[in-house]
Amino acid sequence: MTTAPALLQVRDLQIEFTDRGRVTNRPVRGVQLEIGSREVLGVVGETGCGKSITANAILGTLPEQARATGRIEFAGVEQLSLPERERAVNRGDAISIVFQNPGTAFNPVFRLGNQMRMVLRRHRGLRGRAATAIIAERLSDVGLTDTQRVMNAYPHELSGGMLQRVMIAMALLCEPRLLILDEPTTALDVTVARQILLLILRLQHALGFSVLLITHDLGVVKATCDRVAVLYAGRVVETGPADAVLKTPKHPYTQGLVGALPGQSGGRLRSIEGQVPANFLGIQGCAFADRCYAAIDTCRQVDPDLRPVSTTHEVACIRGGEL
Amino acid sequence: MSALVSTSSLVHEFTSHRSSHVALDHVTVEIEKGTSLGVVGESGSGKTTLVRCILGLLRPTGGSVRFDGAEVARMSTKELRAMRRRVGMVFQNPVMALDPRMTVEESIAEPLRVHTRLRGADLQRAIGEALDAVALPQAHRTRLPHQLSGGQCQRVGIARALATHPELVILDEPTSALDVSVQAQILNLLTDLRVERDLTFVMISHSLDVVRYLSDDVVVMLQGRIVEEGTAAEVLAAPQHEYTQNLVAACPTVESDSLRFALQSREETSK
Ligand SMILES: Nc1ncnc2c1ncn2[C@@H]1O[C@H](COP(=O)(O)OP(=O)(O)OP(=O)(O)O)[C@@H](O)[C@H]1O
Ligand SMILES: Nc1ncnc2c1ncn2[C@@H]1O[C@H](COP(=O)(O)OP(=O)(O)OP(=O)(O)O)[C@@H](O)[C@H]1O
Ligand SMILES: [Mg+2]
Ligand SMILES: [Mg+2]
Repeated sequence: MTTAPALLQVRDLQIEFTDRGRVTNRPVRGVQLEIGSREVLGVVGETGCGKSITANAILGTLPEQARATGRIEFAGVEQLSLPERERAVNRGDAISIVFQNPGTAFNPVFRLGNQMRMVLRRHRGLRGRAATAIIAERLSDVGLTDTQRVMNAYPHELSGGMLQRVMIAMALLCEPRLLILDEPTTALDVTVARQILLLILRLQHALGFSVLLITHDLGVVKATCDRVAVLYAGRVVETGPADAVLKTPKHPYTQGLVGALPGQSGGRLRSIEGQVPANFLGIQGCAFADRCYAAIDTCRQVDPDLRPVSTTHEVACIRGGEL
Repeated sequence: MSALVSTSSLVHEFTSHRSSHVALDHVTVEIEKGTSLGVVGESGSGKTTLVRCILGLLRPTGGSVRFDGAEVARMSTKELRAMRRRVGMVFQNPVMALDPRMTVEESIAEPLRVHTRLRGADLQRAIGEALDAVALPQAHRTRLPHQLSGGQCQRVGIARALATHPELVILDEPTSALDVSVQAQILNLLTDLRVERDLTFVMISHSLDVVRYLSDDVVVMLQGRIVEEGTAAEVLAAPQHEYTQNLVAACPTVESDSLRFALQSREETSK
């Protein structure tokens, strides 16, 4: 898959929250990710397992109390050691993101058109009609055909799904090399979602960027991703081609996810017993062991690393090969 | 049976000095006690506006909303408060719906203090139960919204809406930020509550699977109008309106290879 050198490589990423010098939480505990150029990588996993915060680390927008260690290489350049000034240049340009929460991405007191103009001015030096033309084009790309109304609107004047689309349009303004999408289609009806995913794939094809797609929708993963990484409690527990991982999941957690989907049949849904640990600091051994149908004694002592079960499919489970 | 909520020819028009926009265009719905209504439809079609009108948060431009027989627009502040006590609302945007300065515990306690007589240890127990119901660890009680993930915030919103034991629960995209396992837990919880408490639900969702699972009836909205309605089973199995047909056809799933719109879309992209 990734014959060319990876565009993004995340190695042993750890993220800790501290409060007055004391470590209060470690939501990311050694994440490994790789995205090739022109590749679409899906990231799935239980709520709170560290997906958004990993995206923030890649972008360099972690909250103040958080500290990241490990390596994040983007286009061959280690990011974590770069000064903030240089990282800010990439943001919204070479790397851009569509945030999970549209509310936080916009300033409530500026019209949306002006907020988009600011991006083009800052990164491309474009203004006036040239800028307006690009903005209008991107807005109609995401299916917002009433471009005048949208550009003149304040964020609260649009519906949840419309705002999410404006955000996608804004992220694409500067034609990024890496586009991070955090739950980009959850607020959209499936026809619009499909249209947007198609648009992203089409632009990805034309412009050749890579995509990191965070989603809970396994159908979307299957439909759009080349590969997928499954996170659990701050670690990647399984990764491989999207087809293989969804059809023959090897990690008991992934198996549980695939089994919990509401299908056509009705009846009580199968959720995975138990809860994610509230705090990832004190975890011993495999974080999933307490909820796992296949756990053996060793699982409570050893936290397994990713190991190949085929040439492209890896799983972090000491019993992964046999399940 | 009697309708708990009904709207008749409801119209809502947003006007500003520059423009106006008709968000609801003669919408008539009836929600019987103990039933569950699914609302699906295009983004921007007026779904959130509809529930805001039902709650009396927006004043209709035309038509009317009745709650348990009484017209919402004519209610006094006191009557409105009495009505809202009987309704639990889960807002679409989980992060914005929570007060950023309130801890999880305070967020859930607030409606309990306003609408119930629970205090002290009883209040604490009710908060504990509400957290358990949505599978949030008790350890998160003292966290602020910015210290939680998107899905965790969404669960706080659900816990808050259910804690006061409302008769009507309105959920605007309640599971959109949840992974499928937690979603399954929440859907099971809602199903149990229906049986135990004879709850009435209005559920807006873009996930047809979720609507099929939880709703008796469904209305499909497009550009401020209801374009199709009926039982969820019928409408989703044999949609009549073109928009609903597209909706059902566009739904990606992991199961069938035939719906692999990956391949399809790859082909479409390379055209
Ligand atoms: N300031 C903080 N202090 C302590 N823990 C925090 C803080 N901010 C976030 N966390 C925790 O970090 C973990 C990772 O959060 P993140 O937002 O990355 O989850 P996520 O995988 O994106 O989940 P979701 O699918 O719900 O969006 C969560 O368990 C969250 O509670
Ligand atoms: N405060 C407002 N001022 C002006 N227009 C508004 C306002 N709130 C909503 N609208 C408009 O009303 C229409 C309906 O919005 P609504 O939020 O009800 O849609 P929705 O069906 O909930 O969509 P979504 O699925 O995207 O959440 C949209 O076109 C929106 O732009
Ligand atoms: Mg998140
Ligand atoms: Mg809405």
